[in-house]
Amino acid sequence: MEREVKIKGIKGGIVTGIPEDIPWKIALSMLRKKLDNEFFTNSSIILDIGNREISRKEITTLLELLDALSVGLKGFVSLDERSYLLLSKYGFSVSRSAEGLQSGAESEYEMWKRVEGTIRSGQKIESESNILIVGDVNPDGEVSASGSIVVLGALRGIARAGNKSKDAFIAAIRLFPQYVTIGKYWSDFSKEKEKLQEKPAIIFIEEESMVLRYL
Amino acid sequence: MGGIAIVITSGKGGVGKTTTTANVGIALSMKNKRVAVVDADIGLRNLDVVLGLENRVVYNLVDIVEGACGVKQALIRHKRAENLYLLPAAQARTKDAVTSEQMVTVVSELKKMFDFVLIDSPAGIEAGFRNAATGADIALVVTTPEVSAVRDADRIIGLLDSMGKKEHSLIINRIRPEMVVEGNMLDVRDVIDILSIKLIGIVPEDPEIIISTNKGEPIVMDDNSLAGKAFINIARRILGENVPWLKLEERRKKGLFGWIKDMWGK
Repeated sequence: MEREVKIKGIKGGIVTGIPEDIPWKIALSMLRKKLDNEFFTNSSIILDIGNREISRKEITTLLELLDALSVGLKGFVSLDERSYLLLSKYGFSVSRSAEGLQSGAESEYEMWKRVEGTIRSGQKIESESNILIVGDVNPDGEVSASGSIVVLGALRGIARAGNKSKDAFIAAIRLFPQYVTIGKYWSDFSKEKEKLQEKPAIIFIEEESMVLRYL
Repeated sequence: MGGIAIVITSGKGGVGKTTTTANVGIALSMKNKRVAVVDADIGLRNLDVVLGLENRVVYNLVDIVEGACGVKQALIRHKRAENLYLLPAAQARTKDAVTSEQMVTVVSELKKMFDFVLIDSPAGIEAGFRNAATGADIALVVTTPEVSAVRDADRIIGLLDSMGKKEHSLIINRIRPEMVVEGNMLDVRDVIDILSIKLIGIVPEDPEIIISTNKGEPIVMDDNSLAGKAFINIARRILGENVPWLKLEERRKKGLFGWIKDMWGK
């Protein structure tokens, strides 16, 4: 690997490569120089640490730096086994390749797309990540996410979650949907409809079927 | 400077846009405001009939746009409401006869002459609706307490938002209190809960409206009509007055059970 912090954009993210064979302190100051730019403010990066063995303290100093720069962290790319385990233990998304991180297959901490306001009839919100709606989803309004969907309001329309993952869920403060899908599973709760309650609820997949649980 | 342009729209047809335009227009004129009502439903003109002015139409909106006459020439003064003028639509043309830009020009000219310009939008979400809404400062969305009408209103509100028309209020028309009480009709709270916009009027169902519409005498001119009162209240709220809501249910017998249910609801 080269002795320089490299930044490259891949589909949907910025990957920052940190050289393996220079001290962490110097690597961080190089990273600071690269990222200390309005362009990166409020963005999220993927950090490629290659074969480097990273320590707990080093992770902390990294997070402090990113925090100071207002740069978010999507996850790590690590080829070193120990670093990989350490980072996953701390709850970071880690992958062997930036593309692996992209697919969301291994990652729990993905980005949330936040939408404020009512999703009205005929409107459609789509995202390759998770979606947070701060408002209602009205009949014939549609929310479609590769990941999970949370509605801080009433879900009266259509929600399609988990186009790529069975672990996705749909949650809402009030749940009276036209129908929901998670991956290949579909339900309009027609059997339960009479019993749908004015309570926060979550829908997920368990043992090959869709489960609705009140919170 | 100048007046305020208000579009009256709904998405769904037959919910009372034209009746609302005529009655709120007259109610505003009775408050000594100078009011122009514009029929933007080109090809399906109605507002002239509801106002009882169908025999006086000489020029229309399309004539102005095409330069056949000036704005003032096309305006028709109402017989009884002296502050109210109608700008009729053309009947022998279609919606394509006017562009958005032309509509904006006409409306802004009217705003110079009047305190309020009320634009009666055609049903639908196509060019006709867009033309009607584009020159407006605020929108009154009319719905009835039916699932289909509420859904169309929801769609229209979304479109208004996307056009940058964020100032909108809701009128719920044709409420039948006895059906609401029996649980057979969406009530006001259900409708507001779904549409989540500001409520500016609730108008009860009133058979007199059909008669008044056919006669061309808007119901606000009838002192004894509850619907007429509701339209006057809308006009007062547009003028910034704080008007209490009409109690539509108060004369209904609720019985002990209904009374307990109401207490419970609080």
